[in-house]
Amino acid sequence: MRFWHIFWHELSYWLKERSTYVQFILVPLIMIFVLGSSLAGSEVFKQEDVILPVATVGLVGEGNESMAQAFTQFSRHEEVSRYITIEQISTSAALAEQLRLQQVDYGIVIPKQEEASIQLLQGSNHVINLMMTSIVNEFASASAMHALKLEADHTVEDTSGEEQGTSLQDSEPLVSMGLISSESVTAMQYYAVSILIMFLLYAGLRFGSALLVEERSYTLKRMQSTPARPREIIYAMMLAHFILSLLQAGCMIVISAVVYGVNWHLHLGTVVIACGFVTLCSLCIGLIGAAWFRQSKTLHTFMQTIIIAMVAASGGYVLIPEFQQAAGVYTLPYWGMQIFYNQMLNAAPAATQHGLGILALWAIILGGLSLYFSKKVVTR
Amino acid sequence: MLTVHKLVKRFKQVIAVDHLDLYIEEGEVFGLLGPNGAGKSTLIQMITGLLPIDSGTIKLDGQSIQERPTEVKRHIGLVPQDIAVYENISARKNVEFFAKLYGLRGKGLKESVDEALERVGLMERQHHLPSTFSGGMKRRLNIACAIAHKPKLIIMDEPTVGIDPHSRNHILESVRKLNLDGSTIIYTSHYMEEVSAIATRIGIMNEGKCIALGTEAELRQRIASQEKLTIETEEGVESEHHPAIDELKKSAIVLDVHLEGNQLELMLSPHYDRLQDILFILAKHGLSVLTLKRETPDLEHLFLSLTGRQLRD
Ligand SMILES: Nc1ncnc2c1ncn2[C@@H]1O[C@H](COP(=O)(O)OP(=O)(O)OP(=O)(O)O)[C@@H](O)[C@H]1O
Ligand SMILES: [Mg+2]
Repeated sequence: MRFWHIFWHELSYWLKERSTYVQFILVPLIMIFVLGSSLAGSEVFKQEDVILPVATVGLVGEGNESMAQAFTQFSRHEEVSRYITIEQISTSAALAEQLRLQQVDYGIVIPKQEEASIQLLQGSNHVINLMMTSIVNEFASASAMHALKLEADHTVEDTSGEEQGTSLQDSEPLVSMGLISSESVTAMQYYAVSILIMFLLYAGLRFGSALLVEERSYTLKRMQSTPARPREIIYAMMLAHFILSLLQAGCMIVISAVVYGVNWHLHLGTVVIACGFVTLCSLCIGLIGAAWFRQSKTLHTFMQTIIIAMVAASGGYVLIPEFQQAAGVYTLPYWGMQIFYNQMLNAAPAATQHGLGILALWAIILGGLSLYFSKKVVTR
Repeated sequence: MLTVHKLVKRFKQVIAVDHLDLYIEEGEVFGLLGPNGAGKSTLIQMITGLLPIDSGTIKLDGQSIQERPTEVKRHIGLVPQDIAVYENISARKNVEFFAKLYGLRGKGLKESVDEALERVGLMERQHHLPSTFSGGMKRRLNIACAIAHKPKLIIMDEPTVGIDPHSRNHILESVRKLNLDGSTIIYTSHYMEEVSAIATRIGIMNEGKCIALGTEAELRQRIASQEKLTIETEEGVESEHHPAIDELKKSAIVLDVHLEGNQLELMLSPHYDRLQDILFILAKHGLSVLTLKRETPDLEHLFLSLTGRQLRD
């Protein structure tokens, strides 16, 4: 009962504040609009209205030099070279290793015998996999080798566990590059996702500051002098901020869909879980921050820096594919964003599950840390 | 009711509470007196479970605060030294919020909140925000938040700091009423007159120790055997090392000498009536007397004579 009482006290306080709606709904919606509409015409989103990273493709010739050369030739084509760079690799074992280490994004093994099928080795990036499927098909049709057998390979274990092969044997070889553009997100979609994730991260700042305000006004001490247990107080407040953020996410998704026509391609369960994990992680960071920095100014600086750095590394403001791949993958928002993009791109569930798995891992680690710090906040 | 045994609390170098023993009877108003930094608030925070204890025990009706904090806290109402209320919700909502944390619900809650607000005289302003309150009203709300759940033991940490005499009297009056209605009260202050107005028993604390304990009459007894003589001299005495002071201290009838501005305060053996001996010493050192005041000292002087310090800076 005490728990729900504190929870409701905190939740109703924030719901009554007008600034909550401005800060946590109006501002992000404006940001989505500004970024989404102004950057719709930018380089990344313009040509095919796509965002495609440049993929490094490992190519194993194996002895069938002519076909390998044909492919290399094809890849130099202006239309294609924009998306891929070829790296020659001597053996398929070496290729598999590089794929696992994510040194290459995708692998192609050309067999010795003409009759054997070409092996396609998928990497961990779903968008690249999709793109490469199209490119290889394009190559197959361009070189008029309809008899060319393509075979996806299941043998490569990439660390993400996300590898899924599609046998292209029976698929329509004439797949145009146009397919890619229909399989990619618009600028509005892109920024709707990144701003949503960014503002979910602000939950931690809101929660941490709320704790420091309670501490400064001595009401936290007063609550502790009642039978309410320290952790009960902290977690009740935390839950209130958690619910607030889910409500916020709901509002942002609905409003952006209705007003800006953002197509979210939602699977409700996944969205709730993804937003939940991102928010939970952020709340834990906020709690640790509040325990660490007693000044709310310092907490603000700390949280702002973390949020902006992570969102930037994930490509949330400007898209820099190499940087994203290098640094973004180690950040929280990257995975949150990927889950949404995967849904927008109608990707296989495995990709989404992979993202959720990583978010869950983050949540467990941060949750464990905050368990320790929650005591520090209330007993100092 | 409340037993504190060999209680110790250290903050790095500072020993804030030093092997303190204390026993509070049911139904009393216990006045805890001490200067800044004596350790009053530290003691109170340990009694209310806000600060971990270094060593020693605290028991309320036989239950230890360390072992059963939730159970013990249920019976205590704390009025913190710092005003601890939410500025952005109404006075009534504040009292209600804390009362609910003690488990009050429904009709009982409403009646208790009404009673608490009534006691501190905030009924008319119950729907106003504390941010619009005067300092005295905030202090009274600070009290209301601690009493709605009708605790057995109410601990008030300097509840009258920085407020006008009207609010102060109101607070003292409500403390008396709370006590009459059955609550035991611990009341800390820097002000002797407040404590002597309401307390049934007084403890004096200094540097983490309880240096005197008893009813006001008992404490007065300890200094009744002394008399104070205040002498104002024309020239003024700059330092405690003035030769006149040294000589006064050597005299058999003078127990102690303090310098207060250009006034000398002398504690004399009782019933001493040969003032000319003292005047003679002063004259010998070239000090001419302007005024002379002779009185029996109050509890503040007891404190002074016990510690050599003033109760207030
Ligand atoms: N959190 C803390 N960290 C370090 N030292 C502390 C802390 N709290 C109190 N102290 C020290 O402990 C001593 C006792 O402080 P306390 O606040 O209990 O005194 P007090 O009697 O309540 O004084 P006041 O009348 O000014 O309220 C002081 O020397 C103080 O500096
Ligand atoms: Mg104090």
